[in-house]
Amino acid sequence: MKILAALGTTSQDAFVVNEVARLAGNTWADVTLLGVETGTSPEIPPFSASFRSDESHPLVQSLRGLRGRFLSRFKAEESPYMETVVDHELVEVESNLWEDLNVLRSARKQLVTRIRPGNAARSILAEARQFPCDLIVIGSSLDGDGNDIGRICRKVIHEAGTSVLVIAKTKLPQRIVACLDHDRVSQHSLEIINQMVTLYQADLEIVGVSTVETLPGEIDDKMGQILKYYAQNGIRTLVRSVPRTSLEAFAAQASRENLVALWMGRQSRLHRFITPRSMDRLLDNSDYSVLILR
Amino acid sequence: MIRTLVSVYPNIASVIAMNYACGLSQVIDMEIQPIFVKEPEPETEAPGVGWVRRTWENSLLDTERDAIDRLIEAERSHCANLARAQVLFGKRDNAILSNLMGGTYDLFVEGSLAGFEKSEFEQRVGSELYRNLPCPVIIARNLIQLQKVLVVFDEEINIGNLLHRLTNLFDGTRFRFDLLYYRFSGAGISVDPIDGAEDLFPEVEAVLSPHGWKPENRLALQGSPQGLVRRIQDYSLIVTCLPQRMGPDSSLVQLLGDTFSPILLFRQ
Repeated sequence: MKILAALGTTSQDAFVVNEVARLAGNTWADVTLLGVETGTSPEIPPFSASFRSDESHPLVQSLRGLRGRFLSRFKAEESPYMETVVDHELVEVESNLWEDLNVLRSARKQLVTRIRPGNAARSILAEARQFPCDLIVIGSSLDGDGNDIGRICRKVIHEAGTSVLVIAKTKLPQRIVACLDHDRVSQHSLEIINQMVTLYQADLEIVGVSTVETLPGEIDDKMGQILKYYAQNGIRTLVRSVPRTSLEAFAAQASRENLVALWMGRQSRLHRFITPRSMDRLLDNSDYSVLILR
Repeated sequence: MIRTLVSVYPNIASVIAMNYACGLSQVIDMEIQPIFVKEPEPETEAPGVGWVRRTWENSLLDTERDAIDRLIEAERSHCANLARAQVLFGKRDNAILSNLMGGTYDLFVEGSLAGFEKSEFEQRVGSELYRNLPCPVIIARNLIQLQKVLVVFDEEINIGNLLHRLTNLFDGTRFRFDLLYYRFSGAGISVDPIDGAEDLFPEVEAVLSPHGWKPENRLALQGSPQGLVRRIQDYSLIVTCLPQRMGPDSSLVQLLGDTFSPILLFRQ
């Protein structure tokens, strides 16, 4: 798995990094910590090439601090991200001749730290295009000056071709509520849900989005397959059917107590029932994270 | 042995119903008869009679029959007394009611996904089938193994009568259960105990003792529907009576409409 975490200079970033570290610890993911500009001020000037030699720029300082925080979440001897480990290993170099060799081990998984200055949303999307990942993680208060919290998240959600986890505030959910309106659900997205459930020790609720009267057959079938998959993985899974005309209201209600996941993708029409405005409201008002699955 | 009719259809609700019934059969002596009723398309008129009609019906049933057979066979390994599916053609609720009215069944099980609007649950329990059920019904909502049961009543339900019917149905079986008297009050999610609750359980001992049943807890709680639903969400079966009243005035409909747990309903 490859995770891209977009970070700025806000106070929420520490929580975001903690969550990324927990997820990475469970999945042994390759991780990119991407510093993006969330707005400028006298204290936080725009990042430019002149700052290469001067490492005192707040974004650089923040990113390095967050990297340290990420690495500190792992015990040194167990961390897959430790860059160099000097060890001694007894090796039989010839028959009946053993040498205690000095061994250098590189990190088993990648931890990359980058900065992309400029428009934050475009920077995140450019990074995801150039270095494809399985999951983009952003904090809902990425835009540190408090204006239009959903603007960056919405652009990334709608234009990224991969799953996006928007981490809201600092509450941990008791249930993951995952909504689907199509049957092309990737194994990869099932795994992400699996990880969310494990991470938060949460219940799982699968919500099939129905037409006005009934749940379409292909969605019904897919829900049955998903139910069996998670039951075999020992995850308590509940099921529900919600008419598409009520989806917006349902998602808003669910987000007040749970992490809402939406299985969007090329086959999905959820964007018709959860408009950009209602997505903004969802992100603004939710006390919990929102996960867009592709 | 409890003779149980289980409504099946090639959908997830039926997977849940079959799985739940078979799970019950591992703790309760049960014989399970699945029933599949194929409803004709509204615009389709059945041709002729006799052999012609049967051939036409069979052609419509073939695809679904395979799916039903697969659904049932998936459960057979952990379900000792599981009959082959009875396949009928016609109006679903009418066919099921007709079977139940034949008097050979002690329990009816059907699957139903939880919805968002309570009206869906209300419509079902207010249907002609439910209003005329000759036996109790289990609405199986999720894949939940039977662990602890909650018997729920309010001021409109005679708890002695409910327990009497429950012990008769499951005579000889022991499972862990609690009793809950509830009352709606207030808003938010807080739930508070009701003072002086001992008087709310007058006939419990007299009904339960002869069967060797004993509740682990007797709870008397008041709160909002939302709060009470949270309180009961960990029980693997909710037992109560069919609501007498429907609509927003019915506290029982509000309580049951939102619960994820399977529900066992007796007629009052």
